[in-house]
Amino acid sequence: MLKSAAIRVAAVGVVAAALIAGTSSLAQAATPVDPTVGSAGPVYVGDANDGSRIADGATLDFDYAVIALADPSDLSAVYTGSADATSVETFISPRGSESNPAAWTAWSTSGFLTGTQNVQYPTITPGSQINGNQNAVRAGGNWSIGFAFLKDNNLHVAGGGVYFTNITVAAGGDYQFATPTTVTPPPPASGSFDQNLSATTIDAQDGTLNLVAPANATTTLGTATLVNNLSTSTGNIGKFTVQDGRVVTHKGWDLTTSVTDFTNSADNTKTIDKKNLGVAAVAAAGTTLPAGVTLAAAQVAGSAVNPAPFASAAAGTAIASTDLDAALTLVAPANTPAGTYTAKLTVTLASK
Amino acid sequence: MKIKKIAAIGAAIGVVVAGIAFAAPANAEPVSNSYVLVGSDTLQDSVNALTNGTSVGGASLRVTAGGASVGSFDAFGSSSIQTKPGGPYFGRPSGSGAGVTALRASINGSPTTYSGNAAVPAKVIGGQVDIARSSSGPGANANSAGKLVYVPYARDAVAYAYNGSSADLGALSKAQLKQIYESNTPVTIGGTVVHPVIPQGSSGTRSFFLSSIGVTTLGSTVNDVNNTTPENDASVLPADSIIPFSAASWIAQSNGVTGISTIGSTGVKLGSPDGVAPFTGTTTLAANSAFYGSSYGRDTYLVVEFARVDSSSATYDKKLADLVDSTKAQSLTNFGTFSSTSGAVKAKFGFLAPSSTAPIRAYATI
Repeated sequence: MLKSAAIRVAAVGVVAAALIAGTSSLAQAATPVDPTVGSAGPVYVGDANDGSRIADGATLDFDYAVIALADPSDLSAVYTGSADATSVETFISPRGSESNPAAWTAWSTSGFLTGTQNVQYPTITPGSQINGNQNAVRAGGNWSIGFAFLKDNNLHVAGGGVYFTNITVAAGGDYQFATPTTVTPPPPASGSFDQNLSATTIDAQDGTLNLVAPANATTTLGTATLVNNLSTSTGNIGKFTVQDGRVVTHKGWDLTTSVTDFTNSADNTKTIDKKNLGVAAVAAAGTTLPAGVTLAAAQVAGSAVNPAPFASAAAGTAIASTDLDAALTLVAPANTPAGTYTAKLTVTLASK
Repeated sequence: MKIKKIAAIGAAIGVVVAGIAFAAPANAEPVSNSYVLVGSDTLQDSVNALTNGTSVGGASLRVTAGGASVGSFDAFGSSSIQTKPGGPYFGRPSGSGAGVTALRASINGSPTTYSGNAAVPAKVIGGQVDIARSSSGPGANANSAGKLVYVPYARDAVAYAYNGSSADLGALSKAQLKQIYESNTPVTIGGTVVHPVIPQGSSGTRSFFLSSIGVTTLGSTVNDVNNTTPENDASVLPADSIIPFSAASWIAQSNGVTGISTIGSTGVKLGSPDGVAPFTGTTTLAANSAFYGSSYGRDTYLVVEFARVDSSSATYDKKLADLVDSTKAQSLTNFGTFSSTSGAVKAKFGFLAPSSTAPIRAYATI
């Protein structure tokens, strides 16, 4: 479909459409197109004529008008933007540089759906990316194509993020595109019926950002053992949870930890410096760390800093619930009298 | 629209009287990165939207050509324009006829010269114009072996705007309109002595309107203000007067999709020739297909050199051909309905699909 080279539009192009089915004239056709990784959401390639989804594996002319579809089964679907977005641009970039507008190879101004911060059917025709170096793309290679919600006069990507898919371009401009992996529900075994549904919706509102403490407010580290002849105690504080219900603003969050010096329970003049408590962020036992949440590097006993970053969720993500745990390691210095020491670990949650 | 038109008229007169230089235009416009359109006022707002980018149709789209933006120059504004990098300043083509004339001069090149208006001396403009916007067809210039080709752009209709009593002027018949524009004595309708106004001579709207009401010779009561009256400008109408007006332009201005509305608070209304309203709706207007399908309806065109869009020609230019290929979703001549098509934009500007998509060749010689 849509490969234009074979038929040249005759006089004025007012003749019938020069569209033919076909998939194989692209030199790299045998090379699978890379899957899309890192896009804020799926980009399905649609025909600008009518919004119909273009078949997987099709070879497209560089200038054939195509649009990005948020949901090929629902043409009313839009790409939801963010409040901080002030503009929209479509782009072609080297793969991996999608979120860096300064690294885009070619781009063009697009726009919001009138009266909203959302985008619908952005034109992602390669030949329509009229700024930058379109010819570099037309020369061939592996690229990403998509659009971005931008802020700061197009300098930076806004919270709405970047949506793209990968394309593989043959010398001259014909190209193939990657299709997001989708899960298609199996058809019903037999029979069907139509049900008219009606619902009145209201504007989405941000929920709250909460931190739920572990079930037990006191953590007793395990029995000390000698490691390299130093008293070493380990333990976990137990599962605690970040709940983020801000479905509209998607601001993201940061978790930090800080700890006080350890004090001997029998003699408060004897202490263990807080730098000797190692803190490592981990997903809570039995849970998987949600995509979009990043754990900070562990603080190592002996050189731990306070306060220290623990974990974060990037802006643009709204992960309903993240279960975490902190693995602690206390290494008492050699001159520390034996005894029971106590301290307080504070875990702080802040919105980005 | 309105402000620039008034300034342009003033500037033109001033320059003639003073006889001063013209090299520095009052309002310099950017030059085009690729192709250039000039001509019809009726088509300029929708073409501007397409070439400059718009989301009035829903999706955001911009018509481009081979990786470059396209330049569309208004029919009115500064007296001269420079359309391409390093090119000459030449008289701004103000209307469909002037646009086609400029295109022909551009094709011919030296020694043919073009003079858009009296304020600007004739210039050689070879290669400076690629497409002419025309709100009328080629008429008697149609020729099956013609050097130009008129590619249907959209369907418009021509009604009349009036400033006065709705009871008297709101629904004039074709016979009444013919009488008003042919008479050498004032015509009275009801209690109104009607003052007919007509756009300047190269206006396609003017020629189509007169043709559709059967007028070949204007009566002496028709006011053409030194042949400089802009078309589709409601602000030029004195009391108890009427003027031919593009229905599409009226709808576009009323819908707020044009840069400037000349209608505003003028109190000017669009008449219903023979009692058929040109539009439907009250807040957001839409073309009334019954009126557009009548004898007041007209197909509008983009005019290009045939050899440049003929795939068998040695001078075939695919980028230009694509630009006027109606089968391409985001070409200038597309008339799709889906919101990412150019047609969806044109609909917001009061146009319907052309009655025929067949191009018409014209002008046996350039």
